[in-house]
Amino acid sequence: MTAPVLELRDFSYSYPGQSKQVLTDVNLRIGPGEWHCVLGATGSGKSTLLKAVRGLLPNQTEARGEVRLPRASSLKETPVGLVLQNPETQLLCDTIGEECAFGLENLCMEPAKMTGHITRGLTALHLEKPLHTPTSALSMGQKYRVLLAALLTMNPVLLVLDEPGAQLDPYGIKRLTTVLENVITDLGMSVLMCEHDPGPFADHVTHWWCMEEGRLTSLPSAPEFSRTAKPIQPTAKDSGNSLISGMATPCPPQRETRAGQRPPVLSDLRNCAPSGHSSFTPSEVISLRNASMGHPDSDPVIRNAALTLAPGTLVCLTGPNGTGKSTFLRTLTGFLPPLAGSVTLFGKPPRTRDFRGRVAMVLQNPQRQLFENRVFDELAFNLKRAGADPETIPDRVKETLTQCGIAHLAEASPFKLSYGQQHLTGLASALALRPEILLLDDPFAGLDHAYCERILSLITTLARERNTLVLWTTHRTDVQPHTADVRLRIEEDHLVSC
Amino acid sequence: MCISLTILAVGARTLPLLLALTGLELLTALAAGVRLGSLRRELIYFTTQTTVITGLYCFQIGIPEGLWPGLRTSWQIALAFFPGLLLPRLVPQSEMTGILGKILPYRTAFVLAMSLRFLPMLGQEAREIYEAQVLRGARILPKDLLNPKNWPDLVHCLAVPLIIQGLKAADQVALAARAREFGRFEKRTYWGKG
Repeated sequence: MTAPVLELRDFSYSYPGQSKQVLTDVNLRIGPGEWHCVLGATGSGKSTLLKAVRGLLPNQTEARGEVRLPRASSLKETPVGLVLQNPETQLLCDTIGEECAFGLENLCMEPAKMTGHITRGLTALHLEKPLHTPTSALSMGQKYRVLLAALLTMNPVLLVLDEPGAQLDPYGIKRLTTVLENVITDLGMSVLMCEHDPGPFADHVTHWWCMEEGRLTSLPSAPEFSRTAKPIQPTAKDSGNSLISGMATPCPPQRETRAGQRPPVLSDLRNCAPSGHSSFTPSEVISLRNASMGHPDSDPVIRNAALTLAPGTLVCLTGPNGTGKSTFLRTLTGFLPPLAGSVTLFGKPPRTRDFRGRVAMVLQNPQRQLFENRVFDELAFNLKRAGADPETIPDRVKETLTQCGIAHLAEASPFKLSYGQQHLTGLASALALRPEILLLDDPFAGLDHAYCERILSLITTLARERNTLVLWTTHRTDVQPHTADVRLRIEEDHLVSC
Repeated sequence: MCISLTILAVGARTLPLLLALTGLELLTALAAGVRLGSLRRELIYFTTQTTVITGLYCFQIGIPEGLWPGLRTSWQIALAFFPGLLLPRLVPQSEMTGILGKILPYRTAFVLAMSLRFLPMLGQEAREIYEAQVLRGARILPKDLLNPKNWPDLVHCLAVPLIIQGLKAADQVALAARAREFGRFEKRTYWGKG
């Protein structure tokens, strides 16, 4: 039997000051050239496992069991290379050369020898760029590969990747899959990764694991959804929840909104003259006419966009990282003026002050918006600021919490919730105001399938029952695209219908 | 250069000196490749800061006595911090860590260099949180802040989440650095110094 590169035997761990074990009796063995994938719900202990493998857990005295880490062949190497979820907070230097040199500097390598190592690392990752290329000029996929290249220069035997698909678009994932395959084949390394959406990697993974409440179990074969990349659909998972239970089946791709209103229309109006505000009808809540969008001091990222959207429409906007999805949302909310053409909401140019309460936006990680001591207060804040009758606020908060399936968390501190629960709290606080337009910036990033289903159910029912126009951006490949009535894509500076 | 400009800002207390220093810093910004048109956001920060500080001075010592001290203090603060924003553009990352590493322990030098590097990222984070909170109803638009009643919203809705995100980002950066063996040895080498 080949000697393993990593072995965990009956490994258990709890964070300092906490009695609950995050990892319980974990057994894991990784051989050379193997690709292991750990599946599991958000908060099940996957990231803790990866930190344990890298030896980065705080206070190892809280650990029991055995971890046999791979040994480096010399002091100038590191045996395990870890890439965390967000490349932005891991890029520590200005240029790709400096980034790749960082680890070698820490290993006290002689400066004269570094350039050769750096060039080899970048070549292995298909990143033949000048070493002075700024890291800020790279796409998200390229940033991820620079981080991998920086690790390869340190000659690891095991690469550990935390949710590589969370931040990458389909093209970035495809390139990453190719380079990881090459790394395994050509350099004989092993890979251990955690991933919510393992579909794109499924054909290359050799071992599958499932993490549930800190316990790791081996799966005899690849889960069906991994290979077929079964899309996520809205479900009626949470009984007793009116909004969620109202959505027993996915909605058809196109359907009429409420009686008397015309169905959503995506029209090519590029040759039409912009109309005045007097042409606004209640069936057009968002209207773009020859609109170009971008930052005032740079070139437009979207040109000549033409679009009319009606209430109750579900709109999905896709596009690779950095193509302008967030800029599109900022323009709709009035924080960025259009560079040319016209953008109107409710028949008026967007002015943030005018649309507070009518337009809600949820950030990619809505937990960034949380600041109150109780979940209840998070929702009540919005209603207070909107001037709601103080006597009605408790009922409206409870109603929204129930709709979102988190009524039991009303008294909990938002900061002590799991990632998914915080996500729902952020969404609930936006919904408390009953907005007419709900904008969501990549709402599925980093969430497991169960939470994606809940959010998709919520927003779908919101559109159908309350006639809210819901527009979300995403790069997830597994979130049911047919749920949306209108599917848009940003391609080469243009907004196109898919 | 940047440190000298910051020190000069602390001592510049007369109108001619403040004007001269402003000119010098703008020239430095131009030399660093900054387009003056892109300083709109900094101008908004300065205007808001000046409004708040001058307001506080006037509240304490009256109008018009408080106007000039308030404006001067805000101007000095802006001139002291502006070179810090230019530093990452003027000095490459590895060089900055290397230079700081000569006078400070390398761990401290790294923390300082990272603070400067992630300043723009924190600014971006602040913008995103600000915009989302405004749409939630927070009274933190520039016009809202003219009313002192709305100032607590700035702390609760923007400062608190931003501090939490800053701490989380610091934790991530530290983890990323340790994952690449930062701190494994007592000393480290610097690429390009061979």
